[in-house]
Amino acid sequence: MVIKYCNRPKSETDLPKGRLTFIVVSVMIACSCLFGRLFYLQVIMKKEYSERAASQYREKVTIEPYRGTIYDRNGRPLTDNVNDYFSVSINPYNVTKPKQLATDLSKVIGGSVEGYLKKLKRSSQNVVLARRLNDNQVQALNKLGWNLDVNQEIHRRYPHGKVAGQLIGFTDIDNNGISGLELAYNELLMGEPGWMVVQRDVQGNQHFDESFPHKPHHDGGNLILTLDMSIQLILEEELSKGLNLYNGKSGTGIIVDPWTGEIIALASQPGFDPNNPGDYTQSREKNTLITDLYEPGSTFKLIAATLLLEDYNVSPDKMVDCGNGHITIHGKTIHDSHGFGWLTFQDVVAKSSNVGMIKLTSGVDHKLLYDKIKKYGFLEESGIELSGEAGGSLPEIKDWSGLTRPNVVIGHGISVTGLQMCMAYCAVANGGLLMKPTLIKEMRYKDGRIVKNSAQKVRKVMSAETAKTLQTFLRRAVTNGTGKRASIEDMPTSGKTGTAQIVNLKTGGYYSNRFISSFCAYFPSDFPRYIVMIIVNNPVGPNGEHTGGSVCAPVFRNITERILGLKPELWALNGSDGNEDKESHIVVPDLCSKNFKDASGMLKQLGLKVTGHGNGIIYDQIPEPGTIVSKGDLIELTLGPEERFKGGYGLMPVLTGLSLRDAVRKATESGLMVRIEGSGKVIKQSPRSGSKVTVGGICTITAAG
Amino acid sequence: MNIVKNRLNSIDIPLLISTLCLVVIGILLIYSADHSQGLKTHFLRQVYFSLAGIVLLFITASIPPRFYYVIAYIFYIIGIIGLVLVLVMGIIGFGAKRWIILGGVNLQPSEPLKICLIFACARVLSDRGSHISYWRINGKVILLGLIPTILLLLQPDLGTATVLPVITVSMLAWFGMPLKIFILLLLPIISLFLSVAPWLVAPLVISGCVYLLKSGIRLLGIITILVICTLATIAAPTAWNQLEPYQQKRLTTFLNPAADPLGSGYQVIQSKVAIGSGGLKGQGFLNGPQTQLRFLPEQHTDFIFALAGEEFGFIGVTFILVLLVIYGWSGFRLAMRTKNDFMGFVAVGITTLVLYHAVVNIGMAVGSLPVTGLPLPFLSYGGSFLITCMTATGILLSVGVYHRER
Repeated sequence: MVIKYCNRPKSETDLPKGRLTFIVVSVMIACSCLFGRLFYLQVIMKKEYSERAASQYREKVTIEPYRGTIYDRNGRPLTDNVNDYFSVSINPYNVTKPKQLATDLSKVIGGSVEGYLKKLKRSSQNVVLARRLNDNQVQALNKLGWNLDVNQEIHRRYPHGKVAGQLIGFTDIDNNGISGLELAYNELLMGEPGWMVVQRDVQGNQHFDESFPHKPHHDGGNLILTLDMSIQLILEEELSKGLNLYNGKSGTGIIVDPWTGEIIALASQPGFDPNNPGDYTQSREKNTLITDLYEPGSTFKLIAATLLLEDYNVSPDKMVDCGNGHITIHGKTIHDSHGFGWLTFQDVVAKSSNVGMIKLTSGVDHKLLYDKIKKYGFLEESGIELSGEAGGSLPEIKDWSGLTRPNVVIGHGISVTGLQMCMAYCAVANGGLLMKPTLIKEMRYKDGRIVKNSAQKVRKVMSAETAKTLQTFLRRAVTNGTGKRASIEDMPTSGKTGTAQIVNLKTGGYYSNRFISSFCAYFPSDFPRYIVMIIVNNPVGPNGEHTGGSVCAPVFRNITERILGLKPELWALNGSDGNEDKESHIVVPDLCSKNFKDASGMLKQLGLKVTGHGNGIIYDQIPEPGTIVSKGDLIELTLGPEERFKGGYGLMPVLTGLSLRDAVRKATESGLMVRIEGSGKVIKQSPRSGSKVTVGGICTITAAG
Repeated sequence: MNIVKNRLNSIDIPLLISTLCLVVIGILLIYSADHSQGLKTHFLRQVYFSLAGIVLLFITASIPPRFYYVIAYIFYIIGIIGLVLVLVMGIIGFGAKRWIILGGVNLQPSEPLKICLIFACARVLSDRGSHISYWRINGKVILLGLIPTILLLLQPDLGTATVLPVITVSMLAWFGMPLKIFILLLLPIISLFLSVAPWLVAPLVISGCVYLLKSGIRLLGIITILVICTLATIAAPTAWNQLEPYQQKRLTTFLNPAADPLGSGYQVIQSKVAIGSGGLKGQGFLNGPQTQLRFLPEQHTDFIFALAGEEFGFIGVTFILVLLVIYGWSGFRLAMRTKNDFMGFVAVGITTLVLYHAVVNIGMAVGSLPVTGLPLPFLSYGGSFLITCMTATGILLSVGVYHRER
C-alpha cells in the first residue's frame, strides 16, 4: 500500500467525478453569488445608484447675466461690465479648521476673524466668504492651501469716469441700480440669470453639453441716450473752469435740443465718479439741475414778458420810467443795478430792470400771471426719466401778499428747477411749444423689442408771434443788454441772464452778498440748435463778478465756441433768414440701424451725397440726424456689425484663450448655441472669429488643459 | 503537415475564443478609460501586449508537455530567485517592492512565478514513484507553495500571496486528499471570507456540508466545522473592532498599500456607484459619467470591471461572466480528458489561477470582497499579468493539443 489514503481512481477510464464535482460546484456557487450581486446592484438598486452618481457629478451653475449697456446718441458705451473680481465661497461642512481659515481670510482680505467664523457657522451648503477680491488675493488664499470655490464676479465699470457721473449713476455690489439712470432703468438694464447643469469631474473641472438641462441667461437691455458725450465733456469742463475762475461753490448746466426736448448734456459740478461712489457724500450723486430748487431771478422775467405780450398786448416799444434804480413797495425797496431812466419794454427785459418790470406788470391779473407760470410748466414735474425731480413751489394766489407779484415777476418768491427754466426757454426758441425733456433715445429690451422715444410736446405756451417777439428780446439782451459777454463773432446768440439773491434760511430774508447766477441762451439765434443753461451757486469772481452776465455768460460763450469747433456745420445756419431759402435746407434723417442701400437711396432722393465706410448697419452718421444741411452736402455714414446693438446676425467673436465659461457666455451673447469639446481653456473655435454667423447658429469650441 | 493540421484541429476552440473575446473587451475598456483622460497610451500598450500575448499563446500551445515537465523545477527556482531579487533590489511602488528592472524592462516576477509554481507542483504530484508516500507528496507540495507565499508577504503583496495557497490547494484537491484535510486547509480561508461577506460564503458552506453529508461524512464532523466557521465569523470582526482605528488602518495599509488612498472605502463606493448606475443596458461605450469624469479610481487596472458595469450594464457584465465560465469549464474539461497526468494538474492549476483572480477582482468591484488589488485576467491593464495569463492559456491549450500523449 503505497498511496494509503489516496482516493484517486485507480483506473484511467474511471473519471475522477468527485473532485470535479467539488470544483465545479465551487465555481458555480462563486459565479451565482457574483451574478446575484450584480443583479442586485444593477437592476434592483439602479435608481439609487444612478441618483448617487448624478449627485456627485451634476451641479447646477447659475450664469450671471451682463447688465445692459448705456450708450450715448452716437453709440459710445458709457458703461462697461468687467469680471476681474472674484468671490470665494465654501461648504462649511468641509472645513475642518474654521479658526485657521478665518484667521487666514482676515489676514489676506481684511475684516474680523469673528465675522468669518460667524459665516462658517452658517448651516448652508455654500457660504460666500468674501466678494470683490482681486486676482492677487485669490492667489494668496490658494497658496495657503484652502480649497475655496472661486467665482468670477461681474461688476460695472464706467469708462468715462466723472463725465456724466451723476447722470449715469451707479450700482451696488449685486448690480442693482442705486442712482441716476442705473436706478431709473434698473429693470431694463438688469439681465435675467440663467443656469445650466454641468458635470463636474473628480478634479472639479466643469463639463457642459447641450443635452444637459439648461436655461439660457439673458443679458440686460440696452439704453441709448440722447446725450452726446463730446458735448457733455465740453459742458463739464467749461462749467468746472467757470467755477474755478469765479470761485463758485457749485454749478450745474444743461444743453437741450429745443425742438425735441432731447437733453444733449447735463452736468453738475463738482463731479462724481460712479466707479467709486463711496468716496463722495450723497449730495454729490445728485443731478442738482433736476433735484434742487432755486429762486431764478431775472431769467424768470421771460414769463411776465410773455404775459404782457400775449394777454395785455403791450408793445415792445412801450416806454417805462425806471427812475434812479429803486422802487419801494409795501415798505420794501427793490433795486436795479443802476438807474436806467426811461426804457422800452424790450430793453427792460434786455437790460434786466427790476423796477421797469414791476412797473410794467403793476396792473396784471394775479390769476393770469399764476396761470402763465403754470402753463410754462413751473409748478409741475417735467417728467424727465431721472428720479428725484423737484416740482417747483409758488404760494397759491389766495396767499399772495402785496409783495408777491412784484417779487415773482422778477423771479423771487418762487422756486423752480433749472430744468424747468431751460424748458421754458426752449419754448421760446422753438416758436412756443413746451417740450417734454428726455434723456432716452431708444430702449432695447432683452426680448428684442426696440422702443424709440420721439419728441413729446407738452402744450403750446404762446403764439408763434409772441415767441418771435421774445426771441428779439433775448437777442437784444446779448447785443445791448446784460448778456453782452455771451456774444460770439459771426454767430448770433440769444439769452437772458439771471442773478438772484440766495435766501437766508435763518432769517427768512436774503443774503445781500450771496447770489445764484444763471444764464439761459441758445444759438444760432435764427435757427436755434442748442439751448444752454448755466447756473452757478454763489460765485465771487476776482473782480467781484457775481452776476449771470459776468459769470455764466462767458461760460456759455466758451461752450458754444467749442461746440462750433466740434460741429462746424452749425456755421452754415449762421445768418440764414429762416424763411428765405428754406427749400435748400434739408433736415438730415435718422439713418441709425438702416442698411446702407436703403439709407443711400433715401439721401439721394433728398439731393444729398453719401459716403460710407465699414460693413453692416449704420450706427453713426455725420452730420447727425436733425442737422440742417444744404442740397448736395455730403453725408458720411459709419457702418458696423449689428451685434453692437444686437440684431439678426452677428460676427463670430474671438473665443480662443478664454475660459470655457466666458467663451460660452460670449458666444451666447452673439446669439450662438455652443457645442463644447473637452474642458479647460478654449484652444480652438469654429467658425473662425470674424466670420458672419446667424443668430441661433451653432459654434463648436474645443478646450484643453 | 498532417500532424500540424491534426494538432490545430484538436485545439480547444471555446477556450481560445473566450480568451480572445476577453482580451478584445479588455482593450475596449482600456480605450474608454484612456478616453476619460484624453489619452491613448494605455490602450496602445495593451494592444501591443495583447499581440505579443497571442504570439506567446500559440507558441506555448505548440510546445509538447515533455518540455514543461523537464523545465518545471528549474523555472520554479528561477522564479524564487526573482522574488528574492525583488526584496533585495526591487523598486518601490504603491508602498511595496514589486518590480525589478532587467535590461531596462520593468518586471514583476510574482506573475510568472504563479505558473512556475503550477509546473513544480504538477511535477511533484505526477511523479509519484512507488516509494513516495501520500503525506510526503502533500508535504512537498505545501512546502513548494509556502516558500513563495512567504516571500510575497514580505514584499508585501497580500493579493498575490493568497493566490499561491489557493492554486496549491486546488491541485491537491485534484490529486485527491481526504476531505477532512481539505476542509481543514480551507477553513482559514473560509473564516477570512466569512468575516467580510458572510452572505457570500454561507451558501458555499451549506452546499459544502450537503456535499459532505452525501459523501458519507459523519454529522458530528460537519457540526464541528459549522461551529468553527460561526465562531470565526463572530470572532474576526470582534477582534478587528478591538483595534484602534489607526491600528486598523496600519493593518489594511500593510495588507494592501494601494488600497483606499482617500479613506473610508472611497474606491469601493465609487465602484459600486459605477456598476449600479450602469443598470441593465449600461450608459453606453465612452458614455459612463463615473468613468469619463474619473470618479472611478484605478479604472484601467483594478476596477476595470466597474467600468464595464457602468458602460455596458448588466447585460455586458453577464457576457463577461459567461466568457469566464466557458474558460473555466473548458479548462477543467481539458484536465479531465488528458491522458497526461502532469498536464492534468497543470490544467487545474491554470484554470484555478484565472478563475480565482476573476472572482476576487469582481468580488472586490461589487463590494463583496476586500480590496486586494488582484487584477482581472485578460481585462485589466498591465503587461506582466496579461502576458502571464496568455502564456498560461497557451499552455492550457497545449493540454488539448497533446491530450493523447502521455
